[in-house]
Amino acid sequence: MNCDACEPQLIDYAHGELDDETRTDVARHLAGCPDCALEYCRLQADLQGIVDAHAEAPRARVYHMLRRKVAAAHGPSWWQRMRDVFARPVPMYGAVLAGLVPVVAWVAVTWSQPGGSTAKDAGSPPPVPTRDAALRDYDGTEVLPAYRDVL
Amino acid sequence: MAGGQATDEELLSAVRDGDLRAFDALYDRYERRLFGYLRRVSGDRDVAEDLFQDVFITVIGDRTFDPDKGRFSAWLFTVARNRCLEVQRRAGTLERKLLQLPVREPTEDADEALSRVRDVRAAMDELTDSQRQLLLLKQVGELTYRELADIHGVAEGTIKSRLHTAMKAFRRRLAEIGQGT
Repeated sequence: MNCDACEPQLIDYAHGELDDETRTDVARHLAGCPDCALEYCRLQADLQGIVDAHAEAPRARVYHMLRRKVAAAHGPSWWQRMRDVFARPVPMYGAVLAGLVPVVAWVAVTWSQPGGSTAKDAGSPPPVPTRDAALRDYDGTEVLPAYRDVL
Repeated sequence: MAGGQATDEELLSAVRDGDLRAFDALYDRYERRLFGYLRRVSGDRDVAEDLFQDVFITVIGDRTFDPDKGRFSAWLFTVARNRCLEVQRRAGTLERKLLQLPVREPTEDADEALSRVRDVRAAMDELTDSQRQLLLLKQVGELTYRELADIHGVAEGTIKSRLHTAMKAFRRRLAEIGQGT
């Protein structure tokens, strides 16, 4: 392919509208012809210039208005939202945390009441000796009950 | 669904199913292109914004679109073009007058990029309405020759020929403006 044959193909080449064979020929020619390669770069710059000169965003309120309209026309209804909430899979860590809640609550209640509930309730069974009381009454010389003479 | 990997058609389907994140993604993709086209064709920001909403609502609500028969973008810009034509007919004004975007005079401290944008717009203004529409649909709308031929109801070869003519006229005018400044 020579320059005269390449030049008319450049627009279609830039638009990706050439068949495989012609595209390969043009690409091969551009790789070896600085003049056509330069012309192709200029063409691409001009094409991109059209895009850049006309790309413009609407004001932000347009987005919000349009989104509201779409939500009103196609958005999920309240029962669909509820269904989605219940259909959502519960992650495993969520189940584990839910199981830990009663345990944590029990520990918190136990620690917040030293001595247990017996301290407040006189009619309840005798309190279990605390660790300090057991140490205070301990006698190291006393024979253990298992070795006492039964008779 | 609202990821960058989803096709336009998938996003459209998700929007119709009530997925507003898909709408956000679709909006992001076409916000600048579609509004830029409408703004240029209508020549007025407020009109373009009304048209923009109208076109979006139409394409989302109209379930006659068949993805097997064409791309979403082609359909979107076809609807946009038809809406513009309706507005122009309703307004009863000359198409040329409505299509003409007022060219702003350059300021003293305009930088090179703004100068380039101004030159491109001025060169586009020199084209005929049909040439300008064609270039906009091709470049901004990114439609293929086949899609352009379907929109205009002509053969693909005709579109190719018209596009070449328009492109040459645009580039010639752009070069003249560039030399004049």
